[in-house]
Amino acid sequence: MMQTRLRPQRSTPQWTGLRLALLAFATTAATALAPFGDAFGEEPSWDDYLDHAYVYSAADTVDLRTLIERAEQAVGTRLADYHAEAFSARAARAPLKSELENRRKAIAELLLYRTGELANGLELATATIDGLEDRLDRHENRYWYHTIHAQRALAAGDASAFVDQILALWLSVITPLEVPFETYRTLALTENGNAGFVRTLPHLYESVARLILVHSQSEALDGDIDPLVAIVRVLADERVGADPETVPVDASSKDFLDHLVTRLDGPESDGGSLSYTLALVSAERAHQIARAKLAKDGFSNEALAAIRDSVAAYQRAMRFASTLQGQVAIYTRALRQQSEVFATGERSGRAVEIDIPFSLDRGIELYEALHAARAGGWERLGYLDQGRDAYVAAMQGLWAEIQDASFNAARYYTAHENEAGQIDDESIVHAINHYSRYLHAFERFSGDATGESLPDSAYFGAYQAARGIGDGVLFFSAGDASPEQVAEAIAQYQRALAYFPFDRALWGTLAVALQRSGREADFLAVAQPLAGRVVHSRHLDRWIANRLAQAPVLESFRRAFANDRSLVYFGFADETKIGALEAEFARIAKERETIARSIAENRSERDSLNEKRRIAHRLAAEVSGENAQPAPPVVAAAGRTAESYEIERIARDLDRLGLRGDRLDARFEAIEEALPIFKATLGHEGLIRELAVQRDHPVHALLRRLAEEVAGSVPAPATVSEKSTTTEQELQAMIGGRNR
Amino acid sequence: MNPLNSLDQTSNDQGNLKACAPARARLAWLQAVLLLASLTIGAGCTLSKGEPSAYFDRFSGREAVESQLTGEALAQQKYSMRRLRRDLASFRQTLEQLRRHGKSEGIDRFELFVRPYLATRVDTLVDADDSHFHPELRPFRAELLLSKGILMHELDDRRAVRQTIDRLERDFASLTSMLVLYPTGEAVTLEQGIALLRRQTGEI
Repeated sequence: MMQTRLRPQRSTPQWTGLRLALLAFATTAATALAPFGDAFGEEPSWDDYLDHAYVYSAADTVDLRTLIERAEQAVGTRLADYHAEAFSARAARAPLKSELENRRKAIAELLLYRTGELANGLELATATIDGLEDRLDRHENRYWYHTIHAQRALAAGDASAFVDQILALWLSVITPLEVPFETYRTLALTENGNAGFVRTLPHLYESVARLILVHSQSEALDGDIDPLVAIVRVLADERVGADPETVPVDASSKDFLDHLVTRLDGPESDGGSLSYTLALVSAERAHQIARAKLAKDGFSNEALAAIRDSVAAYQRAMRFASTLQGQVAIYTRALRQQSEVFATGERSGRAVEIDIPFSLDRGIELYEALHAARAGGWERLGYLDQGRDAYVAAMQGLWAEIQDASFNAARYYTAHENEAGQIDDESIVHAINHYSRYLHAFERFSGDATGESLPDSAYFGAYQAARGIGDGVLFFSAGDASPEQVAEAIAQYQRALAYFPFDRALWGTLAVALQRSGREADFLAVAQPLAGRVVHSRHLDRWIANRLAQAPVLESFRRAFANDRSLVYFGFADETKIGALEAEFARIAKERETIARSIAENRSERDSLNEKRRIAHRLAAEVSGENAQPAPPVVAAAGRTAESYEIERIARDLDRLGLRGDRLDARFEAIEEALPIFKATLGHEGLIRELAVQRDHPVHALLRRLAEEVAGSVPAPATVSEKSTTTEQELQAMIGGRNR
Repeated sequence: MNPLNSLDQTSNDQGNLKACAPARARLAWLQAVLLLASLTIGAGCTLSKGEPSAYFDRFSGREAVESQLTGEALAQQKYSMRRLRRDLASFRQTLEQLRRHGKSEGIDRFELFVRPYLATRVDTLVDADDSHFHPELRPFRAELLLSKGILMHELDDRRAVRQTIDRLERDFASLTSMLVLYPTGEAVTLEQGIALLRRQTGEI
């Protein structure tokens, strides 16, 4: 499984950049405003600050408060007091007639509303600026008129009105100012001349960008603002950030704007929808905050609240998604969050009590819809502009998250103990269900000839799922599995080894399961077909020949699988007792030498006795005249000599020693051949860990090819002991397999 | 009330446009360079409303300044017209995506923006007498017409599409081998560009 590594993460560069930009914007604004008084040779006044509010009025609320506080310190009067004194009190005496005064009043009310100091500030600002409707010939009035009305639309959650106000602002303020601004800039009059409101254009670009990008999200505008995508694209085209002397690039929203345009055109767009993209980017930001809190504090109240915020943000983005492309991008992220939550539960040992309403079942349904379009129609799912590569990447990306979310949840349940400190059957069932759902889906969607449907890592995932099911079944009922359950575990282990045969420990687990069903003698019959696939794989052969990733490790396994004796070791050797095995091997070697020596001594003694007996017979023949001619008709039998009895005993000893020596030779040779091969496969457990955490590990591609090489030939569980040589049986007995 | 609907009533710029016509007439060079004419429309009139005096009135050696600026001004116009073409491409992309999502309300809303935008920003350029244009600006003007044509197609305005194509063929009859950037910054001859526009809009 691609275990989710949870660690504190900072916001994305774009969001971090925007936040920094906001602060810088505020600072820049403050700096810009600071010398107003000096420039005019007067004390700083609220009139000056309000006349230049286009510089800072779009800063976010926190920064705006900071700015206003600084201005209040410089002026020596709170803005609220100034407003009350200069406008409200005066207006009570006599209506404000001046266009300038009315504009300043409207701006002050907008600022006080945005800083939270005047609850009805927006209504007041709207009423005040509406009073200037007969003076909208002036760009500055028009700018504030549409800005205030856009803020009002945001506050009311009226997306359509917000769109209208921004488009009107662009058409009636920005557009007429653009050409003169360029001319003034050519003449260097934007800095030095009396260019009036024209020279504010860079600030207006910045403010419009912030209204669309930031304010619409901070106000959680839940309507369609897609027509504004044109303005966003135009702002990104050498407008925002294009005048660094006026608005430093660092203080502008250029980075975020560029990021957003890239996302609009990118593979995880929703057919270019601005509403969707803004909502998704906002949700990603909330997700990052939640992830950091989870990693730092576990399931603290703050972290849980952050997760809920993030989930709500993804749900909001989901409401905007009108293409499968958009929905897939959201699910890919939401399932990642689910992974993180379960990983935290497993890590902390605490129960997962938060509901994330993005289900794995729905994720698989989305994947199925993508998969169904691979032969045609994928363009209609939203990938028309980005092309087939984007479609394939999205399909594989979603699968990877389904895989991670499934396995992290399963791991959580298998690690989750009840009050008695045990893993109850209900948790095991949950775990098995997660693994089964994955494996079932995998087997539905694998086997695609183009290799596009699933990521390479899905095949390792199939191994993990099958193994997880097998383990779960064996753990069921506190380890007291029924014969049917054990048979199921055996079948799942075989399936797992078919997808990933390089898990040495799993071979031993398979042997244990076979033992529990009284079929330990079947081990080789079960193991050989699986091992044979590795031995005869052309892909693996080329992989090793080309010395690709992990080639030495894979080669050691292939050598071991080619040898039935070492295969027996896979099943029955206890790797923790390799030292004892080697000691036993040394003892056998010594005993073998002793026996050989005994045989030699016995043979020597026998030969000596034979010689003695032959001499004795010869002497006896001479004495009896046996050798004289003609031979006497009868030679009295001399009877059996002592040597004969001794020779007979020695012969029996030699026979016994010979048999024993043969048996030892067989064991010696078996161990001598198999043990080093088996030992060469030890110590490579790191490969499993690497594959579990690296989706792009090169060995994933090999596993896929191995599986495809024998597509559809995942072996059925063997049930009958077919062959098991005496040597192997002895070896199996010797290394204690039957007693495990 | 949609502020775009009410723009004509709320803005006096159109009226100012007329009022400022004599000023534009005085600026012969600026009339030839329509972007700077827009300056008079946009800024001159704006500045006349309570702003300090318009900057042109404050230059005694205006002609000398203008002649010195010719090179820069021309470069600025090229830059400005190219950016305008890219803006129109963004508008077209927006309309296309709104249509793909079936957002007819969004299309209607955006149309209320696009049509006056074209009228104030594009038509003022392309409708001007060609003799007022620097020869180097002709391809830019043709590109704007091509962009307008495809945008009108997105707005489902077949009449405007035909008028634009007619205009292209009439105004640039002797310049069909001129290279223009259409539709996505790729250099083609104007003849090829018009043929492509016809295919795209179905006006074959």
